[in-house]
Amino acid sequence: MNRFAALLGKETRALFTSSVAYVVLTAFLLIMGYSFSLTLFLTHTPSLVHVFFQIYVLFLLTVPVITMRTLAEERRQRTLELLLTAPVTEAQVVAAKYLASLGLIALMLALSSVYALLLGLFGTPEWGPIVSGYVGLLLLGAGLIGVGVFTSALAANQVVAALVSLSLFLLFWIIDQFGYLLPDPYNALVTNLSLSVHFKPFATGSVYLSDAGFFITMALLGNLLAVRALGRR
Amino acid sequence: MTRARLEAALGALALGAALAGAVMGAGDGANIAFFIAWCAALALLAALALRVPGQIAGPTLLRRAAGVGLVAAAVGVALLANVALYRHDVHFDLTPNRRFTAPEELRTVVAQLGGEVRLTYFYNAGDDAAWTAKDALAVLARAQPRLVLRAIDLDKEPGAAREFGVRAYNTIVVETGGRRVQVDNTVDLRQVAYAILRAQREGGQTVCFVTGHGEPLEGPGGTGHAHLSHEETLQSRAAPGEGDVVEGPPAGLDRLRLALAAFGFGYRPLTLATEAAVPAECSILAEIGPRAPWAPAEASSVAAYLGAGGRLLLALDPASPVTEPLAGLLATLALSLPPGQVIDPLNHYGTAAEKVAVPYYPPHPITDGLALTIFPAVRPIHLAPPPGGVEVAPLMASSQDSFLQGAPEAKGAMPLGVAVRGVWPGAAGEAEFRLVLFGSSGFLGNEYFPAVSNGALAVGALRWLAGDAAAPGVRPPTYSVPEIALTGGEMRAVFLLVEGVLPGSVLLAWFLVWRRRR
Repeated sequence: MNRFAALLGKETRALFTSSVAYVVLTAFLLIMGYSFSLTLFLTHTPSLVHVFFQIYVLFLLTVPVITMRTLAEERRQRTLELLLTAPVTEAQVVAAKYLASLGLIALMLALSSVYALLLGLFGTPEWGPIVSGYVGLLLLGAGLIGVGVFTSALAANQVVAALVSLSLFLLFWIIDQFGYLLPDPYNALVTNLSLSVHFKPFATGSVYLSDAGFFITMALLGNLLAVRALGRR
Repeated sequence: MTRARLEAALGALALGAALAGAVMGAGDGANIAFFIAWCAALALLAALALRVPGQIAGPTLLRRAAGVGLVAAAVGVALLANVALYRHDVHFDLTPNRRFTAPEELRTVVAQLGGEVRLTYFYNAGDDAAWTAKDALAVLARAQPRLVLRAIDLDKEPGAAREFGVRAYNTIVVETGGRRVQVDNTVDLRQVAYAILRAQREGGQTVCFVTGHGEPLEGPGGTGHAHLSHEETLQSRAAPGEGDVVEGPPAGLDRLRLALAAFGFGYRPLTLATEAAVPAECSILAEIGPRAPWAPAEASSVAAYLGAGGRLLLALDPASPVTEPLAGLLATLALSLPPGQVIDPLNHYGTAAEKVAVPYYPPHPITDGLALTIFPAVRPIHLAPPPGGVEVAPLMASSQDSFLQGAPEAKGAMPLGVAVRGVWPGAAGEAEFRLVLFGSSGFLGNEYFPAVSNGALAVGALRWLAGDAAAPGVRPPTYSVPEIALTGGEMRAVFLLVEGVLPGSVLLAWFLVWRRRR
């Protein structure tokens, strides 16, 4: 456990001493701040539903950037073999990189919670949907990072890893639109693979445990396959 | 914790939660236990999958088949696990309309019940919304012994409906103190709250709106046309009447009128000049934004009305002529209204400094719990020491930076509203009169009534005048979409915070890290 804590500390430090974290954070806050204030000033509505959907789309775009370097960068710098010869397991390596990336996502959400505080300061927002929206975004981020770490474990190049992650995210973003083309019960199966279908209820204050389970499964499966991909090498 | 211990703990947790779910049987509790078991089992399977060797000995084809098989098995297990979870799903309703929770208005009213209130709900068993309303009422009645609920399926007990004279589904009959209020065809429980307040009110009270002085507000009896529409939002419409929006002329009084009706106040227009005296049925007299001066006889009849314990609401904006008869009436109470419009560069709505915003209030029942109030055009009120037997309480004031239009050098806070009570100077009796005077009338109109706490201020003032102290915290319906109103300064502060301070602090942290690394 001490080795894992040391590894997690190293990964977190590596992430927060790189420019990626700060560029992503700054861009995220600038875009979301503009969007939040514009929506608030124009609609005067004490709700974050629109902000949640915009963060959802931003996550699809920024998570590949955050995760692309996790394992592909180690491979490019030829430090992966060195890391794997250390007294830590592949699972610990993957888990440390996963949790460090998740920490950045959590920090982004924590900073964006200022928007909710502002709504609370100036109005009377419905807190239920705000809380469920943030829980949904954290779960979505956890699932996306799982897939991103997996593609980073597969690819030898960061850009390839990011592009593969992005393609997968975009596919699972809109896959529910194609569900009606398939016969029953495959249409339901394909529709339920959609990220939008599982995230939308969270954003509007309607929480299903099956939606939470979907993102948890994504995260676990991504990490498991990333470990297998590392082990294969 | 070793790997084997972790796996054992996960197994024990999965087994224990599954057993607990099985013992609980069906329902949300059991499904939550199953969800915990599901999470633990999934984590255990992942941990066990890690034990499978990454490389197996044998021909290349076999090694690849084993690898593909493991991935296919993992994906298959994940899919099946999600199907199983989907079949034992649990839903938490965090929606804004809280379908299974009584609205705040009803909870507040019920919590403050002083005597027994009997509710009889003739619900439609085929209407989901009616079932929901009935369940929410049952929860409330269980917590408040003074609320006696009788829910009747109208189709099964038509005799009971005949006995009550009920002819429509989802009708609620409220009975208390020998009084009875009936609300037809509703599943909106806020209407029940207002019905209880109406039933609690002893004797009907009528607000008489003075007309005949070119009052610009299209008040009751005016020519204004308003209708209810519905605003489509991302939030679903859970109940009939919920989300209804009044569309009417911006200066009209339709929203105020509907809010007063919800609290059980009647209304009538009153042409004061044609009356010898203020009619006895007028519990409250309201003069809102006159454009022509009062006649001396009108001022005399109002003075007599107040001397006999009358209640008067005066909303006089900068365009209202406050000449001798009316000015003399106010001078009796040592009140005067200097001409001019207040400009407040510090607290105002949006970017318009003439739309004065008031964020803080001295303590008074009218302003208790109010947030921001906005006055689109307001004149100051001058207070002098009141005569004996009269209490004058300022309700609100502009900021220290405010000034009268055209005189920016004379800055200072100016009272914008006062509440007066006591015995009218020179009156024969000891009856208590009440008067509320505002230096603005626009905040009562359709356009500004829903803005933050304007509606609550208007209804609060009228309820205080009426001596209505039942559940004073209940806010009136505004028949509008809930909104946040920001002053210009607040908008700048919000923008600066989210677009300057937040990203700037991240950049600062980046700079500090970079400098430290160098």
